Amino acid sequence: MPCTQPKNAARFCVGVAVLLCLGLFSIWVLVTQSRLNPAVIALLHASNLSSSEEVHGVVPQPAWSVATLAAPDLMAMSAPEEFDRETLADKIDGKADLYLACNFEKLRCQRFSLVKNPEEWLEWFEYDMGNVYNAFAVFSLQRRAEGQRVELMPYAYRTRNALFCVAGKYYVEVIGSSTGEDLAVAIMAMVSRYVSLHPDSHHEIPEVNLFCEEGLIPDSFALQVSTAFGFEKFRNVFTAEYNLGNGECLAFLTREANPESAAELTRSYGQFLIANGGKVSEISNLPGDAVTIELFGGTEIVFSIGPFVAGVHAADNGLAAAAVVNNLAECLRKSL
Amino acid sequence: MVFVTSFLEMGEGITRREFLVRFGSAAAASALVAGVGRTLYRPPSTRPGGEATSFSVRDFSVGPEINGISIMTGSDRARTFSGAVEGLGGIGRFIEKGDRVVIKVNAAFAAPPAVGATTHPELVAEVVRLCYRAGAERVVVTDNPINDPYACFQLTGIGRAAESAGARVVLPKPEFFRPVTLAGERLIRAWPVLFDPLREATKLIGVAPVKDHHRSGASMTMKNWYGLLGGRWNVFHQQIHAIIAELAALVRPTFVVLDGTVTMVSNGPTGGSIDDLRPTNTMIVSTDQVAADTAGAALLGRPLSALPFITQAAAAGLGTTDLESLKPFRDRVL
Repeated sequence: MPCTQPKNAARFCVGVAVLLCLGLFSIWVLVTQSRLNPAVIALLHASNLSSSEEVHGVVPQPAWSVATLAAPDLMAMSAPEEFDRETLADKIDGKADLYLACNFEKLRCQRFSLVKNPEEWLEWFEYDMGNVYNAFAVFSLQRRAEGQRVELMPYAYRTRNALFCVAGKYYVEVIGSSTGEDLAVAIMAMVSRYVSLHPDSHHEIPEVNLFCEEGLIPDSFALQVSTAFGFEKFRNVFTAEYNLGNGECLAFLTREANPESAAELTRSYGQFLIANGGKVSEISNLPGDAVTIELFGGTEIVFSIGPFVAGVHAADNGLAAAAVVNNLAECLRKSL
Repeated sequence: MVFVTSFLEMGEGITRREFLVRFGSAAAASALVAGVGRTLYRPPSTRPGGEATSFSVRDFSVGPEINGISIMTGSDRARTFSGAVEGLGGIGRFIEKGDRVVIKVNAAFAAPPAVGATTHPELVAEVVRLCYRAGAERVVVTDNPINDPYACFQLTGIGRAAESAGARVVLPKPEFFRPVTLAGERLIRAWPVLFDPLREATKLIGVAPVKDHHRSGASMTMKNWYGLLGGRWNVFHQQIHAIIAELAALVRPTFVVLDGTVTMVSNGPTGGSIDDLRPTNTMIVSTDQVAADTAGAALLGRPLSALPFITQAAAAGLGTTDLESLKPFRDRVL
């Protein structure tokens, strides 16, 4: 029935005004919500974490504890800590990216001091990387050139105050507060005991043995688990450094599922280099499908043999690099 | 529109009882909505029921007429630092009698001083001593570390060095943080900042080592202010260069000290091995933190193109990458 009386019209207007206000308010809420403040997101995340404080901080110890590694000359000076993918940055800040990219799972750490000199202390870091390849990746990508090999396990070295090693799926760092001899002895003792508790500490990675020995710089192996050389399709790429006599070059190899996909990956990498400014070059007497590309003053050579994709990266001397390539091809053929 | 008209017509001939029932229902519904809104509302401060007012960090610089950089070479931190300050006209140009000084160190990690991941305690002690020699009323040393604050200040040696020189060490507590907004910027908006130690300060000095950093490329004087941020600061990691530049805009110190006696050239920011360090024997003191970091980049062997936060800060007018324009004082300690 249509409104005809003044008071109905007034009520109608009031009602419309209320609805209009509600509509404007809704629009304001939507606009404000669309302008997200990082502080809000962070505080929400913080309040979620605070309800699970056992994620980091003092935690119940697993079946065997880091403290059992400590010889009688060491005493615990902190409670064991544990960090996961969400909280790793709380311990090692921006370096967490390196570990996360290599499929990090968990970190256990604890500090110990010398009983006879509490001013000297060490911190044990045990990174659970999920498998030996991931552990080797973080080990190799941080390797110090001045490190001295430690024969306790295949992948281990020490520096003046620290020891770094791979034990199965674990990457272990033991950092000492000084270069003191007593501390160095304590570190070695801890690692020795750790090796005795981890039979897979002696697990070797077979791919590193595929590289030829001629000209190989010892202990220069590394593993990039993803986006090697900036190429998204290059995953699990092993590298090794070679001394060319008048310089060095970096050889690489990765294993595909079958020869067909290896050949395709070779073509794909060549196209990637060209798309990024590389120029195709010619060096004779290279393996079958080898592609040579000059890029940014260096020589890239990539080829496939069986399921392997291999080559050299950013070599200063193209001809010397070609020699490395041919040696590498021969080694890979023998391995098939 | 028909619905609204019909709804309004229902009011005709309403009794008092009906009015009271409807009014009560409407009041209850409003109270319920208000209660839900109040429950969901999050104030901009980190404290429950905290202030909605945003704070700002005051400008601690001593003025454009004192603008320079001093680069000393030598291996003795105390001597190179004091020599560098003399090169800028002496501590008296910056610290006056009665000043309340805050020294913002890098105590981010519970690491020994030998690995170079934090401000060296010898340098902290000398900075404190020099401030008191100039007549400072009090000196506070502070940071919001990444690891446990007590362990950080203890194991880095910073706590002991600061206190032995007469400073007070202030460890962060939740109630020391205030929401700070940097006008015109997009990241630091109502973000919790370690504010209370700065509240009554009259001078602010930043002291940081030269370090490689896995994410930003380098950690030097501008990145040092990251240690004033509270909350989940790693949310900014995806925009690391922008946040460092904003921090340089947020914090205008009296001067900064960049310790390049040793430089962590790899595996930063935590390092771990002494072999990550190179003896570069350089101490930089500057009123221009962009210039200081530019000099530090050279110690790392990094071009400025690899450190966008420096060029971004310079482009924002926060300092200069042209060191020679500041007529740097250079000397060495034998």
